[in-house]
Amino acid sequence: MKKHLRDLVWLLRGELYGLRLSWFWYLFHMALSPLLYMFLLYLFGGRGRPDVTLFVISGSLSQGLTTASMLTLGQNIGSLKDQNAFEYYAALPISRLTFLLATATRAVLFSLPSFLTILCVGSLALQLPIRLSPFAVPTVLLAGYCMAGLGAFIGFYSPTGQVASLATQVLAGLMITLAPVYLTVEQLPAILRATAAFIPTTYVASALRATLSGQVGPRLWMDLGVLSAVTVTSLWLVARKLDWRAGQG
Amino acid sequence: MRQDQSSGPHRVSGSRAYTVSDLTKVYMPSGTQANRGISLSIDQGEVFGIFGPNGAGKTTLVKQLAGLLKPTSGKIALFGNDVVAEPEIVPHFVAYYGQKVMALRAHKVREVILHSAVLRGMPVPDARRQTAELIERFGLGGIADQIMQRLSGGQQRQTALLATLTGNRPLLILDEPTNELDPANRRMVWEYLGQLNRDHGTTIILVTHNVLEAEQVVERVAIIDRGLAVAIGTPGELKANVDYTVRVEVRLKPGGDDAALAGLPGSTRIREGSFRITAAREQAQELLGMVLARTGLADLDDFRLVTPSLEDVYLRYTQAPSPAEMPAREAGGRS
Repeated sequence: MKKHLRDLVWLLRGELYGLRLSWFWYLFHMALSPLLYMFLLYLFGGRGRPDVTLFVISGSLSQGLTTASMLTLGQNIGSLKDQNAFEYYAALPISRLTFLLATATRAVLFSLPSFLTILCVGSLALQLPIRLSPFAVPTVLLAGYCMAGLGAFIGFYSPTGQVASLATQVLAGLMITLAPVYLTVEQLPAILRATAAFIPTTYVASALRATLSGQVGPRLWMDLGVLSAVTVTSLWLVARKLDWRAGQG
Repeated sequence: MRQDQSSGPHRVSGSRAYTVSDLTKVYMPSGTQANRGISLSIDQGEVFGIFGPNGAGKTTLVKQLAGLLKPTSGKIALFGNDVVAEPEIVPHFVAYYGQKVMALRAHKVREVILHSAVLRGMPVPDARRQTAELIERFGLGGIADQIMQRLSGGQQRQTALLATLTGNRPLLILDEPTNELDPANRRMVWEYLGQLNRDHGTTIILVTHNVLEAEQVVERVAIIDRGLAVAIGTPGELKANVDYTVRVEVRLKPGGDDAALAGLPGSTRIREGSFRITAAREQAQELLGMVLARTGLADLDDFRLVTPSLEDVYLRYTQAPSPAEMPAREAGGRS
């Protein structure tokens, strides 16, 4: 355990060195897209309606948090495979789970500034009173990690880094539009109401709405429980089942 | 044997570092057979060279040894451990340097080396000490705090190589370690590898095209051609198998008499004033006498007597018509 923690710290340090080259564009990209969505949706129907504004802000936060680690892991692993650079990590005595956690943690850390930006801009510009619950902390962390396993899976199994990048972007869009993230579940078509329960962003958005509005209760416990189960199971499965080795032929 | 400093229930049995049995690798869906039934063994403390032309299957072979590529069939034992079933044990014994430089573009040179040492399980103070020693030894002090992305290809490769040398692994697998390095750095690398082998008993597996340089350090060699191990043995054994000829290379001073050498048996005129003359080994002394008698010492600009090099052996084996059905020629008692 001690070795895993030490490896995680050193791998994370290495991941954060990436800030030296692209911190501005990374943060710009991660913050801009949810901010644009937020203002667009606000203009379309949120003005003067606090209940809708809550969905708009929490939806933007959900989008930024959940897609960051999936995009980062998928694209990072895909690109490492493309450059044959993955073997650098595969040739070190580190566990796959530690490597995945380090990459996902980098994504979560990088998404925090955009989270705070959207929260501040959303509450001030859109005039929504925020009553942030302490449970916002586990909610944000679980929102950040819950899709990391899926991103890693796509990165490992995509034939090229470009395919991994496209696949994660498509999936990120689907996860946001097919679940009650910006809309209430009642506003979704009947078929999507049935499938929404199987999409993690449903629980992320629900938990964020609860923690932003201070409505802590059984629904939040269920959301956090589901997100914990999805996070642990997906990372465990990816770490256990995926083979670092290439060329299964 | 120097051990991994990280935890792990790993066994070491016997004197063999690697035992490879009937190893075959077929890439799908193309069906390309990159390795075909290769069997060899590498002893602890040995410097083992793997030579062969481009696309011969050398990198495929060492990637399987390093647990980075899954064999199609066959067995690989590393210090008695089954690499095919448990590839995760390999990094505890082996440091691997691949042909492609890892993509740590945002790291500084010092950080690449330090992080590799720490992730191989070294205590941080020891890792810092070894990093400083390697930077000092290879003269990288001037670029130690520069970001990898801003370095030349040769400097990036040298940094990656030094990162591989961290962690005191008992076995190094180095795929083209001197590619893109200048002559001075190449010499430093060969000297350092020789020292690691002599002083610490480090087993080294070298894949290289630079046969002439590698000849100074390798103890045994496998020549791979079109997926097959076409020859395995010590350089001396392989040379003895190839032929018994020697070569005299002569360069005359300007105005020297070309006709005097052109008439010698086995003589080939390379260009004006330059000749290569081959003869059976037992005729070498007689040949030297004839050359000196015909030209006179005063007319000679340069003069060399060359016995077969490992490069000649390499060319001899890899230019054979087709090794498709040819079994590995074992020059020594071992395979």
